[in-house]
Amino acid sequence: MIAKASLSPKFLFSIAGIVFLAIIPLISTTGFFLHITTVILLWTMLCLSLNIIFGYGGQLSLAHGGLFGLGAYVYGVLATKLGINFWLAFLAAGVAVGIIGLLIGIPSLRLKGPYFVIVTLGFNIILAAIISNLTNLTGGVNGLIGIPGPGAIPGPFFTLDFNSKTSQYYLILFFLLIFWLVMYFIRDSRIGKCLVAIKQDEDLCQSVGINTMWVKVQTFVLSSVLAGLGGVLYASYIGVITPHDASFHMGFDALVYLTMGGIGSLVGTILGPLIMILISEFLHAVVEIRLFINGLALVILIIFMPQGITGGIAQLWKKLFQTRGNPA
Amino acid sequence: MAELLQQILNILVLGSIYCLVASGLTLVYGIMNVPNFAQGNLYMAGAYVVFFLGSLFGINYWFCFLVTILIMTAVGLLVERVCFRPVSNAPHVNSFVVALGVLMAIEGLIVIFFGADYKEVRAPWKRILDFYGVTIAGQRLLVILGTLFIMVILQYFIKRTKAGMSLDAMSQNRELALMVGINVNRMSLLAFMISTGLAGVAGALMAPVSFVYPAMGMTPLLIAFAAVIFGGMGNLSGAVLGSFIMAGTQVLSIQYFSSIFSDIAIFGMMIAVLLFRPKGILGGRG
Repeated sequence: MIAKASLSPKFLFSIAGIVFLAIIPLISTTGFFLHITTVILLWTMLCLSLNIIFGYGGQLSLAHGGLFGLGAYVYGVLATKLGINFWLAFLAAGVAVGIIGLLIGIPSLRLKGPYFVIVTLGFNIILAAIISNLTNLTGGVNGLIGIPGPGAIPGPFFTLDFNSKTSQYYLILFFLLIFWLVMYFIRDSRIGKCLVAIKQDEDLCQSVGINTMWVKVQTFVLSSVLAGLGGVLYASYIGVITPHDASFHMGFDALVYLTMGGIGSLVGTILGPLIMILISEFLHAVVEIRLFINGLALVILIIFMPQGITGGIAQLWKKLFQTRGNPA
Repeated sequence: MAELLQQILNILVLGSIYCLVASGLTLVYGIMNVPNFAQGNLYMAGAYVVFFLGSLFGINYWFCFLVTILIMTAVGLLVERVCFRPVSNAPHVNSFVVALGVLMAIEGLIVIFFGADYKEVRAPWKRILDFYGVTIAGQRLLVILGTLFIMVILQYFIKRTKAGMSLDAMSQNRELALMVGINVNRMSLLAFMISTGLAGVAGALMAPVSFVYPAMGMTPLLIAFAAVIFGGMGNLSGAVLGSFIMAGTQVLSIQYFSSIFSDIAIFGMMIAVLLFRPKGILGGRG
């Protein structure tokens, strides 16, 4: 596979990008810069999970903000109330979000078009309402504070600990790379091809004998788990979570970032959050202005550049290099 | 007995608001096939326009009310032309995303101008009426009567005028309507303007009853969706029926259980209808 891909400029750019991400802690002079990059990576995880079900499968899920928040809360509760080890809680949160994803997916994925979107939005609102109502467990509207970071991994020669921001950054980057690999292999697998076909024409897929419901449920659960694990890493990095982290606004923002980056594109899952978060940091945007900017960006992008920034670049690339020599 | 009547009044007040919001939703869905996620925030914007005009021009509520309807209709014209028209031929999901963008932009705009705190609009008619132990604030009665009035006008418009009949025809059978030469673009614009107008009316009626704040549109939006799905997407009578049933479910389950139970009950009804009778109780477009 690498041999096949190694010739493409896309592959070289990806390697360069990953190397760049890996050296960021070395070149960042301020802690703030590293912090912003970490936040971008965390958002990338949410965008990536949404990309699997929406970008590949065409199913616009508005429940992913809630699933991300659910992962954060499961970890937060397990870590602060029960003092459970990070790695165990990480697994537990993945399983819990997977089960909830399954429970949400089975009824919603039977629906098509607008109905699926409305129902997933509804599920997110219910999820957020339950989280903020379980006051004993989740601290209600005040949220959970003092969530511990990942615990150290004892090794035979040295111990990996995650006390510094830099080490947490590498941990998050490590998981992001795994998530990307998962996404990459999903895209090339049989199930991913079915998913893309479902996006084109679901009835046709059924007519050739694909169990479309099963394909959609599997990928929905997978993308829920990725969103939830992203939430765990988010909670362990930020240390404070509130019901807002499980609200539909998170899913909406992820949709904006994904649209910016390019729906269905792998590189787009990081380019979108990168651009949008840098813009809002550059404008020193408080939450209110960010909401307006995001909404406006979403409308403008869908109207003028529905393929996002990666789609735009791909078109430009084609224009510059592939039509050359072809007399028009 | 008095308690029961009191509950019924509460259901009527809430149901009226949902009815206005849901009618707009179902109208737009019937013509444009777009679930207008921004409808709840257009309702919120209507409430803010009343608040703004009220603080600007003293307190003549009626004047503000009329101007709000005009402003909101104009907003509808703008939003349809600028945001939804360009994606009308794009893949279907694009218009959903645009609706979400409009939702966010409206809320962001309101927060920028008015802040995120709760505002209060003074009711024009502060008397509390008392019918043999059943009390109702004047403004709440106004919500019910105002909605009734608007819905009668809407019904007259749809059943008796040429433009309204074209709307009805198009939402019932799009291909046939196109065949007899009904203009899609004009109908979309009309449906959207009526829809935002209705949201504006709902916001203006409700502003003096509840507080006015940026997130106030989300619950009515979701309940209106539940109502519209319950009655059948695109079906106006279904939306009206659904609204009152959802309001009933909400009021009674908050009274006897809790607000979270009410959310789950409303939502559960919506899912149940979708799974077992996807075209809604009264039938709609699938």
